[in-house]
Amino acid sequence: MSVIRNEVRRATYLDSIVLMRMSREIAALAGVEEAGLIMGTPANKEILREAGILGPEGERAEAGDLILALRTGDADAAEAALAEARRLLDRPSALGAAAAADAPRTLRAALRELPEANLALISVPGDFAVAEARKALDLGLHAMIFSDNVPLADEAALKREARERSLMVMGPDCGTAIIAGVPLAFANVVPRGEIGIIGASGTGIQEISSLIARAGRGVSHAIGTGGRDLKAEVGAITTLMAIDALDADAATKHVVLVSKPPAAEVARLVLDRIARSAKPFTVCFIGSPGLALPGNARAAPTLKAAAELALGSALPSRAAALAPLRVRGSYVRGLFAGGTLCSEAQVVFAAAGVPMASNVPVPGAAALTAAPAGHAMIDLGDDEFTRGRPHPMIEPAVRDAPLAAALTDLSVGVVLIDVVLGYGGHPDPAGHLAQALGGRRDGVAIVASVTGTDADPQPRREQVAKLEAAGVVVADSNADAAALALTAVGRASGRERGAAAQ
Amino acid sequence: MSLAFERSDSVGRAVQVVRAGIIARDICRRGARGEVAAVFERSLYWRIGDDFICIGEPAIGNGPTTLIVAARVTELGVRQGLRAIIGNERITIGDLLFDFRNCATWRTPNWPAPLSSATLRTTCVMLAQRAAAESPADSLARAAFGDDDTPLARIARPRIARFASLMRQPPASSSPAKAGDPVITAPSELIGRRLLDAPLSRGMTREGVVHDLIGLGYGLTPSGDDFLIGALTMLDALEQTNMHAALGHAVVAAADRSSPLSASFLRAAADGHVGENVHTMIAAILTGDADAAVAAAARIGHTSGWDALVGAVVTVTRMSEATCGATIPGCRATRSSGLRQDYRC
Repeated sequence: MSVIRNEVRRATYLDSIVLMRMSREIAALAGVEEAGLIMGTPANKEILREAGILGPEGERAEAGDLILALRTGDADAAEAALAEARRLLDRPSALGAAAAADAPRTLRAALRELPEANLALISVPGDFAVAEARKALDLGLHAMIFSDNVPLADEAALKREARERSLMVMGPDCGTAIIAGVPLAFANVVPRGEIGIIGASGTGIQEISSLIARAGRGVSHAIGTGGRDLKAEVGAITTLMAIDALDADAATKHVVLVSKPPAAEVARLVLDRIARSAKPFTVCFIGSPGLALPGNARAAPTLKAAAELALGSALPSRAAALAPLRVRGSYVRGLFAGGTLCSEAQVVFAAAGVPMASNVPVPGAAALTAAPAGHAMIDLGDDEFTRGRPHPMIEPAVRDAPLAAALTDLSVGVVLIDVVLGYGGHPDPAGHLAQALGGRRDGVAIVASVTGTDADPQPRREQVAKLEAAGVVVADSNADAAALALTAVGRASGRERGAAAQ
Repeated sequence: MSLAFERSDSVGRAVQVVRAGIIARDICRRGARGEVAAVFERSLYWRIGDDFICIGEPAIGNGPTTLIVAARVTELGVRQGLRAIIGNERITIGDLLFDFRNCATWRTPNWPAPLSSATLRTTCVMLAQRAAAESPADSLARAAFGDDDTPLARIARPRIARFASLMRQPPASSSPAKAGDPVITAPSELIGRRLLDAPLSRGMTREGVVHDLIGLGYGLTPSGDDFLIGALTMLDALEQTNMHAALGHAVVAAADRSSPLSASFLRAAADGHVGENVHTMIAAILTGDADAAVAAAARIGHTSGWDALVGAVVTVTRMSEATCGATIPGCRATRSSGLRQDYRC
């Protein structure tokens, strides 16, 4: 027999996004048939009554109170769910209290607690990031600036100051690094190894390092530079310092450089520096037309190709073994959390000679300025989607609305999706996606890649299983997923399959 | 680059208030006592009787009840329940001293002139379609324009329909809408298909319609409240002074059916004050920029922006239908000028 439990928190206000996330988490608890977390207004009590989960305690709630209401199959399940729900509800205040009471309030105080630290990770609003980075440099610390919205001139000045002190500034907008095996910000758990990575792109580093790890090899260091380091105004200061560092690192035998196409004069600087190294390099300026590379460097058009060149062998691909997808529409709608993964998909399409548009177009792609039509690759992590909202790697619900729109668009045959795992990301992005899809398909195939490893906080194997159980086709890499999507909508030619095999 | 806060000689830490919304500024000038009601990642809410003042970082955007400070809220160490006192143009919360003597005052900007009524209605059709497909599953937008069968949708759909009927009540001199005009009928067909197209029943008053919507829905500000804020703001933007005042009166009278925090936003909207994100969204609708309106809606809370958008779309659609039904055959304003003029003709 079903059991209804209500709990009322007096005069409790939670941020809407937090409320919605908690509500979903509570509804997904074991044994919970129905749940609600809602302000106790008279109108909302009607909703809870309609849902059959309003109990006497909820009835007594006032408009400013928060009602937690749930229904389970039996009393034991109800008590267990309520206890877990209480833990979820108490979590933010507990974290806040701990942060206020115990966390060091300044970099100097933090350094007193950990005097051997040599790097500060700075994640504050952009207005304050430069000041905090300067404090870090003053304390002799390298800086990794996660924050964005830092003026370009400030970035250039800060990096020049750091270089004078022989310190490195990773960022601003540096989302990923792995230093001596320690993942920083959004990064995956990969073994230590002999391949070093320098990346202006967070998800680019994540995809390459994960592919390397899944091939049984490892990463010495992955150094993030920030997305604008190769602009002329900055002059590749961090990239050049990172090459120096990996060149001098005995454990690093091969270096992968991944970035958007650089300014021409900056490319020359970087390639000249690479030419002076005795180590082999793989250069992936994603979307860039061919560049003349020095003899010790090879060009990789995609992230997958970069990983293969670094590994010295081709990666396995199940794409050919997958059953042909039957789809209703003619176009692919890519909905990406990772900007570089979005670029890589465009490169796959461009290599196949298939026109497409994107809100972050690579050279050769059209700019997406209105509602998507034709093949469209959308970076949902771009500023237009994330201003004032969490990044889709943190809150996958950001993808729900565009996904729903794609599923109802009759021109769409395949929705192409990236699921990015690792530290910093959502605890269960595949579970969320499976739930968002529900039973909806309507002749649209969902093709996904899963960036990550089985050692990640969200083990990749489990995430893939959830997606496949939901009917999602999971490719071995993002490039494979793009190629598979292209094939499914009937645009693949022999040339396209050749591109897919890169 | 200035630091987030500095040491003050006399009282703990001093924090500079950069901008103050017009209502927040008035409350602060009066002087008051209250306590911190909620602390979020980038903002905190301070309750003074029935009023709330939001103290937040620049990224949250300006608002009538908002004080924007040059500090990170997570570093202020403020917790719920702390007492706060205003006096001498300073707010003291714990050992923090918020100084607003030199801050700028922010007011809701003026509204742009709307494009033609036909463009406005076409924009509303697009917005209704996009809201049905793109808004979060737990939004009122889905209840209004989607096919979802959730407890919220089942309760909200007829209530929105009654609100739509209220907005459609034609002027005494009006005649039926011109049948077969796709521009006119498309929005109402869309709404009518999704909602029970319920005429106002005998005895159903404006107060009753508002009463049913206030406090309805998920989130910090219930969706029904956001819907009404969207409707009020659209009426204000279209200079529908009498309708805005009448709806505002009903909203204020029923505001205590919602949470005290949300009620303070409703009262502000009834006085013509909304935050800059809502202003951006409504202004985009007025100027026919559906993409900008959707982008703005998606930036406001979890569902709040979408819910306010639905309130605005339902309001303008039904109003234009009622009024233009009366005026299209001979109305010179209808074809070539803005909706404000339509309602005057």
